[in-house]
Amino acid sequence: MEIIHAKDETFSNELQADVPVLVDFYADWCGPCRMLAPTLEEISSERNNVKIVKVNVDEAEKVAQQFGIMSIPTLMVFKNGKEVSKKVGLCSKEEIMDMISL
Amino acid sequence: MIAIIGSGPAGVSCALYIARANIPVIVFTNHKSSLLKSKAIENYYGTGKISGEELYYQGIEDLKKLNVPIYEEEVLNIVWQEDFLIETNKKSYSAESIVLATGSSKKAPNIPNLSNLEGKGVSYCATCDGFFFKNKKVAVIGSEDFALHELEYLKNIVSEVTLLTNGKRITCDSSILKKETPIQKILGENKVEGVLFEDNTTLEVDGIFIANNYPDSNILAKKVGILTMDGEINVNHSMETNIPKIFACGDAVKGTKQIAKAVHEGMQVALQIINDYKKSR
Repeated sequence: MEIIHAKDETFSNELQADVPVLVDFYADWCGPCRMLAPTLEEISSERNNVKIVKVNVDEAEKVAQQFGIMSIPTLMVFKNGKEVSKKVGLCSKEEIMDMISL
Repeated sequence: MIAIIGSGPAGVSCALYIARANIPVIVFTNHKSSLLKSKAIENYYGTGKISGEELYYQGIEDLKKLNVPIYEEEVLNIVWQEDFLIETNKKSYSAESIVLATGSSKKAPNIPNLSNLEGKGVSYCATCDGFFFKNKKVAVIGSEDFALHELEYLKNIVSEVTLLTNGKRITCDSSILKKETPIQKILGENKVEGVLFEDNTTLEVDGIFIANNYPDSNILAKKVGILTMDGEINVNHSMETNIPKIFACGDAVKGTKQIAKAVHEGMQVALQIINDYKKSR
């Protein structure tokens, strides 16, 4: 499934999905975020049962504030529009897959 | 140019091989190797009974004999751009490849409620997370160059930053807000709300940046985007991290913390670098 880039106005719509939604809060100047990006690309090309949404914290400031983002990268998993898990910092593909299956 | 951070057994072993292959290499060190803490070593091949200090400084001598430049500077940050930028407490340097021979990581400071709030206002990297505290009040915990470096960076972003030395005395510029009282605990449940000191005074802050001593392997890795596990840097079979051309070896990576292992891995990294260097030219 293709990765979606969400803005302040479109974010809450993107959370409505039949599959788990994995949100990546990132910024272009963040080294660790750059390292996470290829892993997310891999997951999106391998799996259709998870929706990946990227939120650029420079552009979508309201959403970042709403979810109390204080460090990036921060990954959050939503199911049926509700937050089920949150992880701060760079992590491995295995850790991300664990998060999604919860 | 190859930059090696750390001058213990791993760093020196790596530097020796690279230097002998006539490839430009420099070593950064703060001379705070854990080897210096070993009083007597009796199981390292060829050295009989030797003190950690003697063995360590013999390694430094070996580097000097090969004219390897040794920069006695504290590496405070690594930035990943086209090349790598290494920021020390003195200057910035460019390197095409980096070897992290930075030893084992330190434990987080033993301050109640600190680790619970990691990612919820507690951060180990000002350049990574300062952005989220724009116009807010923060504190930096630490008392050495690293803490002052993080404070300098944050000054331009936050509304107020206070240096908390947690009991240590420090002489610094009078423009820096500081408090030397030991810390009792960090206040806040779902996010940082402030700091409680042992004299029962409090300081309200939205964020806390830990900058004790110097950035160890774990912290340097976090800053640039290198994967770690339990404070140890992850490397593949070529001793390379998830960032191409950044390698790690010795106590900084998984496995037994022994001189023989560190020396071996330093060599392994060097051979990989020498191989890559020859292929690219």
